[in-house]
Amino acid sequence: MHSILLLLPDPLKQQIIFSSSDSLDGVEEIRIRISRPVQLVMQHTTVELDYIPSFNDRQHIAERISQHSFYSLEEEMKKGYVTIDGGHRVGIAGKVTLEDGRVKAIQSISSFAIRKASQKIGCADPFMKELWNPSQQRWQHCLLIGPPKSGKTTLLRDMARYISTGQPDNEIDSKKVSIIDERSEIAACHHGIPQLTFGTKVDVLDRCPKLEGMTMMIRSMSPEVIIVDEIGHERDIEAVIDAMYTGVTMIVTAHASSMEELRNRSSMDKLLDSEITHFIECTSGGYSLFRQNNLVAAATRER
Amino acid sequence: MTLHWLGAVFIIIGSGLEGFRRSYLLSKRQQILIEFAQAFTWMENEIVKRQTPIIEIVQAQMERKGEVAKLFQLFYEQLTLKQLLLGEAWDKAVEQYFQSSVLLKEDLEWIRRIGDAIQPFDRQSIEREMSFIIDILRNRHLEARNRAIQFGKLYKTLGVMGGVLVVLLLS
Repeated sequence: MHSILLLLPDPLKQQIIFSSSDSLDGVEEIRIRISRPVQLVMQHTTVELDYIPSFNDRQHIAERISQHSFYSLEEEMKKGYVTIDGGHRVGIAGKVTLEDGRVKAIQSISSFAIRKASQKIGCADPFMKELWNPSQQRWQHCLLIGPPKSGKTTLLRDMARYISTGQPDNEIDSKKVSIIDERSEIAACHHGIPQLTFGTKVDVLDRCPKLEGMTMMIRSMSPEVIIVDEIGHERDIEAVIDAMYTGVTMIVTAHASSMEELRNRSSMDKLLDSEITHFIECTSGGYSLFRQNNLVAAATRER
Repeated sequence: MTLHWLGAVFIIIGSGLEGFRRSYLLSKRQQILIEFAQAFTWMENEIVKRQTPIIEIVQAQMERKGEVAKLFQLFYEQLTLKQLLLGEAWDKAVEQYFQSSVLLKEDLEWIRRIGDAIQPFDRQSIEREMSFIIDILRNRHLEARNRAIQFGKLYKTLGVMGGVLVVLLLS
């Protein structure tokens, strides 16, 4: 939270600090809209502060995010957000300029959504033993499914940490993990460096399209496990299956509220018929690991 | 008698030096204006074409010699030590620089506007604003150069001649 507070003008910083009698750990997001009250988004509630940001505050935040050089973030701004020190993400909205019908830059900013990067170290522990194949000394493919905000990426991140660290006590060796992080969500890279906790054997391809990223990683980094977030397009699925044939373990996520919903999608057929035998269903309440269709492990989701 | 001669020499030297000083200020002003115009053109290119961060640009400008480095040094201090925003930091730096500058107040007003020009969030707006100011500075440089050519020698001559005239009037 400290690196987020550093971005804010002093009066707003004080308001936020004094707004919470407890710590600020519960704050998930800070919404700053020019000329409208600032909102602190918690898990279940949204607190409105008695602070109306001015245009000067907007300039302050924009300059702090970019070290006085907002123009240098044009490439990031095409995606609508910037990842800052600590892995937190700042979403930006406002008036855009177009070139050939595509977004070129943001000309005027009206809102910031500062989303705190969160990691739940250990949340993958209950499932990892089930995914480890001791006879082959390798990890098994796994597909994580769930609706938005169900904790898929948080679990995926912890799986990457677990695999790259290994568990010598359980005779699980650490493995080389490659993360294709198309939206800077898994590793929350800032200047290409992961800001969250991972083991020593993690390589991240930040902001790289999944398709190219998987091929690049297989060619250059010889990974044992590849981690990819949010597959959906047919070409992504084909790339994942191709990667499986190279002997790499694939751990991927997909948006779907249930296995049934996933099965109803024609593009997913190939993936469900592939070598993937393990599925983790993520909900706001917790995680359930299925081998084929049998529940083998479950855990509630801690906040 | 010797004292009279000595006084006369002092008057002529003093008056001549004043003439030379005025002439030097004219030539110095045009030289500084072109240095600033060149520095801002380079800065504009770095921002627009390479998206170089401001701090890197400022550090590079501080490596230059002369007045440009002086202003950018002050700007750097305001940005990093005082943690001011771009606009405020530039205004303060120009204000401090003005105290020791030979530039006219109007010249500095245009240089001050660079602070506003680098604030927009997109490169297109920055380019538009900076180009405008650079054009004005180049025009002011031309005007300053013409003044220096036109009045530089005149001031020197007037300085010496004025001294001689005073001596003649006093004798």
